[in-house]
Amino acid sequence: MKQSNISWQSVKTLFRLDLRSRKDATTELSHKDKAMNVMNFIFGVVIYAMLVAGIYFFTNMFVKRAGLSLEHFLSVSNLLTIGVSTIIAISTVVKNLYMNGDNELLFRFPVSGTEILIAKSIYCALHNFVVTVLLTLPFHIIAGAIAGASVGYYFGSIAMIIFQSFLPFFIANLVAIPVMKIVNLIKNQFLLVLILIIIAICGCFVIYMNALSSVLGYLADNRVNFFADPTIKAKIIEFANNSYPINLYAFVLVGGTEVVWRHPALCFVYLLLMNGAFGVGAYFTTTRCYYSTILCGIESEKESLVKVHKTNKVRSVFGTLLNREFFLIFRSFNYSFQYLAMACAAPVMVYYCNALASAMGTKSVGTTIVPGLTLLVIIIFVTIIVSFASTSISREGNVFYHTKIIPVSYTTQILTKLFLYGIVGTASVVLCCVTVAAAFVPEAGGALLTPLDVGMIFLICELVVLAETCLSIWADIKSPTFNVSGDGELVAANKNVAVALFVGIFTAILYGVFAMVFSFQGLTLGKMTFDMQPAEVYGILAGVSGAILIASACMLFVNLEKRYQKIVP
Amino acid sequence: MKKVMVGILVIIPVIIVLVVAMVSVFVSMSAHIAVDDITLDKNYLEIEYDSEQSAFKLSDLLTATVTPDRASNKTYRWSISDLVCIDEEYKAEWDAGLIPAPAFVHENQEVADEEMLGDIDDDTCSHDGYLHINTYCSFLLKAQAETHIATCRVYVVGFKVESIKVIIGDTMTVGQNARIEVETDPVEAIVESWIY
Repeated sequence: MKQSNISWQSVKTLFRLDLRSRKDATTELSHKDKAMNVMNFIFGVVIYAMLVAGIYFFTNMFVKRAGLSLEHFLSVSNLLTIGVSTIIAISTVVKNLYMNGDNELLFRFPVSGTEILIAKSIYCALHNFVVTVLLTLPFHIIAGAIAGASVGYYFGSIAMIIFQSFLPFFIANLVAIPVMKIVNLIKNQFLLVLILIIIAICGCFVIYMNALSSVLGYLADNRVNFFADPTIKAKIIEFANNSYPINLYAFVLVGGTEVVWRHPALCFVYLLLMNGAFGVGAYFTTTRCYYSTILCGIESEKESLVKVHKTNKVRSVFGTLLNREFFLIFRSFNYSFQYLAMACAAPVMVYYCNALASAMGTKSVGTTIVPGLTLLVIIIFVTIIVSFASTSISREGNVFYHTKIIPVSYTTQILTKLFLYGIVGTASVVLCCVTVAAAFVPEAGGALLTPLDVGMIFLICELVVLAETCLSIWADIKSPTFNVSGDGELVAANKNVAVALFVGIFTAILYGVFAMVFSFQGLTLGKMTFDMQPAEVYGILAGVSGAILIASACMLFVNLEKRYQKIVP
Repeated sequence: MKKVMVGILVIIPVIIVLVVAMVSVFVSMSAHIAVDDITLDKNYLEIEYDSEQSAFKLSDLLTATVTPDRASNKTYRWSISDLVCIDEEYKAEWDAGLIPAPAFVHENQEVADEEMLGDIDDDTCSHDGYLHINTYCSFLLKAQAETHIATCRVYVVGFKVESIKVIIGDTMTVGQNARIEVETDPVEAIVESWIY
């Protein structure tokens, strides 16, 4: 790494290299990869469309129902979007500037640290700009359309959003250094990281469910909603008036001139000064601490290997394989997130999702729907955890051949994997069932479920989980995707994960719909009338699940040695 | 992988809500959806007796809500029970079968005299029916949908003075003092001022 003046040609080259590596432009894309990219794009568009729809309902609630002025609404929405943009910007800056694996490589190039910093910062700034625009524009346009704003408002909005995008980027650069210091400290504290991830997942999901519940309540109830309550409205207005300095953006756009300090021109000057202060602070902090923080990060990566084990614990072959398989999950944030964090967070997610859907179903068709609904919710969430088994072979990565030469039969190795995933899946199902039993069986919870319901739901879910685990491992044996470059970590979801998720969600819907529909008496389908008791519905589903489990176990273990032998990375 | 998982977590609740909505629509067309509950907006009601207005539309007095929303049969019927007549004179005549019950429900606002003298325990009316009140009394008003019942305790009271009675001795002598007592009809009538 050279220490010299900035060469903009180097910055340009570094930036181009960065973009190319992100787009996988260094290799020729196969048709399959192109199709996958298209699917990813469509998936992203669907998620964004859902977000815009949610924004529309919220804006309608605030502006139309509650009668908030555009100024107050934009103050609240700007606070939300700038908050989210800042969190995303911090994540992007930390990942790209400090945690990116290419830092070690770039240090060997004939480029200076400042050039690397500038090249990466350009990407972060662009990323932040796109995120801010995508988040803020729907709020501004929808609010303007609902409030009947003039044409000038829309042009002003575009200018204001561009101006607004600077603040998250500057804050992110200021905050990234302390964040990285903390990350370097806790990087090897796997349990702590896992707990933090679980708390973050649960917190975000609860917020999301509350938002979804409000939207559904709004859709279902066209009468006066709680926003129309004068005290709530007054609190929102008070909050908007006091949300400095973010509300200044709204004052610039739609502020009046009756209060002197809210004059748009004056507010713009305040914002300009604030952004300038943050920008200068971010510049000096980043340029002075970038190099040392990266070095600290690279050095602390190896700290986990410092721990010395004086004696090797003697374990059985099965125990050794189980131990290895378990610790493999802690190997990366991705694995921990997809598996253990999801497994631990599943009961919370099941509770909130079930509470929302039960309230909706009970209001519409009564409590009869609840057991089938609970079955659907538990299977669908456990599916996410089980999908991890569909990378059980692929995750071996560079060391796959090791599994072929160790003096342990392939069947034992696969049994170990199945045992571990089965145990974690079972634990998750038990926790989910205990949660719904505690919440919905007592009178206080509406007595929506009986102990029989919970017992049978557990049995069916358990059979489904084991069957899905067998099928997931079978699919990965059939077509594994090894990442042989880098440290072998499987970062991107492969097709087996997608198939496992799709099959799991489809199965959950099938089971849930069957249980919900056939729980109702006097069901008429064509010329046939069904009068099934709950026990009969559960019996059929348990029988089918048992048959699927036997079939999937046979698929996994029959000719396993031969099929495993054929796997070539 | 993390992005896929986050995306899935965002979509799953929406999928569940859509499935529940579709199943609800389907079963409401194909199966019998039993009534889960019926509730009244009040469990205690005071009606001021007015001899000029004896019939009250029940739906104006109380609002009954039958759940679930898509129940196959959301109709309900009104009835009354535990009828207690406060007016002793009226009660004596009612017991003798000479006059109608102090309160009863009926489908119509106008009721023929012979119908009024029937047994009120068997009387029910639809949700559009009327409550007929003939004197001061209390009773339990019931709304029943399928097998579910909601009740409201109703008190028929009077705050307006219908008549007053001065209670004083039959004869008085010169120089005698006597206390004048006044009794209002109904006894719970609210009297704001007296002029002797």
